[in-house]
Amino acid sequence: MSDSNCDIDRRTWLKLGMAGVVSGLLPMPSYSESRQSTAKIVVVGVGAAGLAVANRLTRELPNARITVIGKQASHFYQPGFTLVASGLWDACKVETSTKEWLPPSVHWLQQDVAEFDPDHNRLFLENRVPVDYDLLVIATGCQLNYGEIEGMAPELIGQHGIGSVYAGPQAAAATNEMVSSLIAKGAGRAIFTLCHTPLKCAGAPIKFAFTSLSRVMDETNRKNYQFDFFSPYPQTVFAVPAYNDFVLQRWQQQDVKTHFSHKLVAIAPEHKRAVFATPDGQHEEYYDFIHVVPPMSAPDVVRNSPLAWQSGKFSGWLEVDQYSLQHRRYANVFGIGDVIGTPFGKTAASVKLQAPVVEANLLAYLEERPLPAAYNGYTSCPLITAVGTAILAEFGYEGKLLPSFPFIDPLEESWLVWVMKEKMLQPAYYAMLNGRV
Amino acid sequence: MTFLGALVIVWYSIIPYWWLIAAMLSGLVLSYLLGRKRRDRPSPWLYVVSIVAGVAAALLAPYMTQSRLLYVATTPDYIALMLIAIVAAFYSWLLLKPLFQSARNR
Repeated sequence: MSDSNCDIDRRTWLKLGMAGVVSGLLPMPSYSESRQSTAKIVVVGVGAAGLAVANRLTRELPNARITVIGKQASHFYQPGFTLVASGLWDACKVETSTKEWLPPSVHWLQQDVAEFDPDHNRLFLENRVPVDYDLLVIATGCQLNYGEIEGMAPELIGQHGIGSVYAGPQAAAATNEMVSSLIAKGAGRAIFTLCHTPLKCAGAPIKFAFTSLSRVMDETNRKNYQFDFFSPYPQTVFAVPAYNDFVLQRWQQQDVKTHFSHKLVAIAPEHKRAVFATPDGQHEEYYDFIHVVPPMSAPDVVRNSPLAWQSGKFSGWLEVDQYSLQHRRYANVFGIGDVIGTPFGKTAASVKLQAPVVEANLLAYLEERPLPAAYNGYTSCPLITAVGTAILAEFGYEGKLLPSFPFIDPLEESWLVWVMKEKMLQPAYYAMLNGRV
Repeated sequence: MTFLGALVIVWYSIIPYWWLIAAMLSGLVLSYLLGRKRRDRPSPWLYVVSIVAGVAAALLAPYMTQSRLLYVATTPDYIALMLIAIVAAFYSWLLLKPLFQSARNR
């Protein structure tokens, strides 16, 4: 693909758009009262959730002292990683500078947090400098634990037939090269895995299996390839039954073999062998290509802090009320994005719904009002079923389908949904970063 | 999704294509400048060419989005293609009308 796909100019336009015409022409959601709070608000994280919240709060609380903490100088449009790994986008199309999205008035500390001390409304940076706060928003994202798979490291992505869409744009591009090599070989076995932990963009492993299969079918002889999907769960590859059934049925038609209750525990890159733990013990599988989905957790700094769930199925993730997104024990702490321990909500689209909830509840907390907003678990994933078509999967708590568009069937493959995924979701994401939707 | 939210997203979505919108508007201006002295009835071929352009745009649209016609399968897909055809045909008609008028009177 040519470099013209890298939208450097788009960023300039976006800046112009956000600063000028959009704000002038389109009324933005706002609250009736003018807020003069001078509260000291700290947002930890410069990913989608942190930036969206920082932009929204800056607009609503012009006098507040807002500090954003996060080391990442580059911001990645993570929903595009699957498209990069599928050879449809260049890696540079998903990378922008974090600074572009930060409101000018916030104070950016370009470091990571080393320790939270919520009992004293304080945290410590890597250099041990303390930062005090009145209100804390935790939006650190999640941590990829490739090391929990014996023999696996992010550096192996792009070698020995190993791919993984999660580790960043370059890893996604390297994954594409691995799939291209498999296709060039003319035959082989591709295996796709799923981790046993909660994961961000849970549709990505499935989408990537579909796009890889689609490429094999388009570019070479499908009969020479074996496709296998290994899930650690019994009879499940996706948490929402309607989509799980759809995917399993489609894979049956496409001769993609599914293996349940298989957890990837080790990998031998030189020998191209993966080891899975099953209820019957461990066994090895040979592969020509493997897609590794790393176990995920809240970052160590959160999971080793008093802020994490101390037990239960979300143990180690940020302990927030799943509706108000307020911390269950520290009332002046809110959580948003991949780090929170809730049943769903680890996609960029989830952040779109979570950000206004956090904003409204945080403002209410400042005014000592009851928290008015509730997050319904909305999670969205345009489930690509082949290069060129997709299903718009939208759901919330308890797996309830929550379609945004009455005219789009949530269980039907559609070219229009593909166009939305390929052309419109990135602009929508940028609008979200700016706090505009 | 709210109507306002949809508008914001559409706005952000078209920002990268301002150059295309500007080029299309420039094409219209140029066309009308070239044919500004002609006010005759345009050639019937104008309608044929416009319809062909509309149909071609609709048929090519899936391929321009890295998809294929085979995947146009749902009612919203067909409606989207029809809208593309209508908009492309109308634009072609607007663009070519002055030129077809000129051509007949030359």
